Amino acid sequence: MQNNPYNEIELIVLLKAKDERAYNYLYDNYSGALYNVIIKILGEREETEDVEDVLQECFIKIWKNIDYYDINKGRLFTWMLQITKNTTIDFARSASIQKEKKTNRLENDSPIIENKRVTFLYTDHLGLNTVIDSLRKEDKQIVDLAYFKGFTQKEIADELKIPLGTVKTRARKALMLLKNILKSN
Amino acid sequence: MNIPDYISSGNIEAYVLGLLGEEEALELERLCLEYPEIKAAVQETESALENYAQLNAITPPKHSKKQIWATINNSTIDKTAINSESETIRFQKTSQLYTYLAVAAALLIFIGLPYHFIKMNQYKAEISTLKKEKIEILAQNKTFQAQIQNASKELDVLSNPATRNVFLAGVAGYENNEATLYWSNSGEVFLKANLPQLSIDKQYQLWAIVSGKPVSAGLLDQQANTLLQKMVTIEKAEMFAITIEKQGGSIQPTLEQMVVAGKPL
Repeated sequence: MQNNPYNEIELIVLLKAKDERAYNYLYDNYSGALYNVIIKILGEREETEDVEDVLQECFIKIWKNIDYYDINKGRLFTWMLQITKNTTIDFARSASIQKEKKTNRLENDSPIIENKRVTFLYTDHLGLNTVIDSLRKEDKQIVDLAYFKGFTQKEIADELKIPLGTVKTRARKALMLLKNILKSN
Repeated sequence: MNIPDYISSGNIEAYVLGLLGEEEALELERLCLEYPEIKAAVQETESALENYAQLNAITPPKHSKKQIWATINNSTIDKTAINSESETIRFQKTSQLYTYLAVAAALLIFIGLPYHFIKMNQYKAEISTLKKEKIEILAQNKTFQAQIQNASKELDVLSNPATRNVFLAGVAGYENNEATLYWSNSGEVFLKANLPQLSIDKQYQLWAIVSGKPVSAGLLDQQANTLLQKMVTIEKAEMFAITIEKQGGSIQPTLEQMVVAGKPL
């Protein structure tokens, strides 16, 4: 899918040396996925400038804290995703506080601007839209809420109005399906 | 531990999705170290989700890449600069503080030394006074102990029912004088006299009349006039008497100068 000139260990060595090649690789390969996560958490209506600011903050954090990344604890992307989720959720909280102070000036946002962002899906030219589409809506929902938005088990149960115990079972089922689809592609 | 069961329990998926509780997550991390199969399952799930995330990727605006790189470099340089600067300031502040502390310490010593010298001399004088007092008190203590021992001996004699009391009454011309004599079974004689002060060249002397002859029973210590005085031991006597003699006493009593006399009952 992406050109991969470095294996993960080489990449981490370059990252820890603060090499610009490492940054280029990191940005080229992961900025899109992280950008999507930020939009998912902040909501489609968020100003592009805010999303960019948060993305920048995330990359700075990743860059500065790379020494804390422990290769034994999981993949680099999982670690970057965690930083991105935390940073974005923090931003959303402080932003919502500010918004409340502004007496809900943006309450009547026009729904027209919802589609103002042009989104490029890597999936399009590879026909992978079908991959995602072939996941059932409820399976996709559960993965998106947990993985992209950082919802807890209870928050998901509340959001989807399903029993707490069902969340884990359904998450496993969704991931099994996802694995199979990815394999067959 | 049944590994296939654990792998299909849903814990691994929940862990990678961030849904697992803290305790369960720690347990899973521990199991990963122990069972390579579990670790492999975690990694497989992670890459599946990573692929899924890549499928959902949205390309950020073009200028973003350069802008972020510029910010990263600026912020690193700035931060280091600020850090080293504040480090220098802090160092200067600390070294200044040390100077003040040193000056303060020197001043304290300078002021403190004479004071301590004076104080030390005072203490030395006090200690030598106390030492002298201690010696005196110890000496007094010895005297008191001796006195107490004597007193207890005397008390023994006095309280002994076998001890006889001999009352010596004033003779003609000395009617106001009197003395009491305590005479133990073994012949010890204690005298308590109530007699007027004599001139310095005279002294009272106690006599015992044994078989009609006067025997000296010792001289009275005029200083200890009212105290009980131990006299010479007299085993047998028909009578006791006190006469005024020259200082140092006489071999024979001057009977004209007799002041008190009495017979044992």
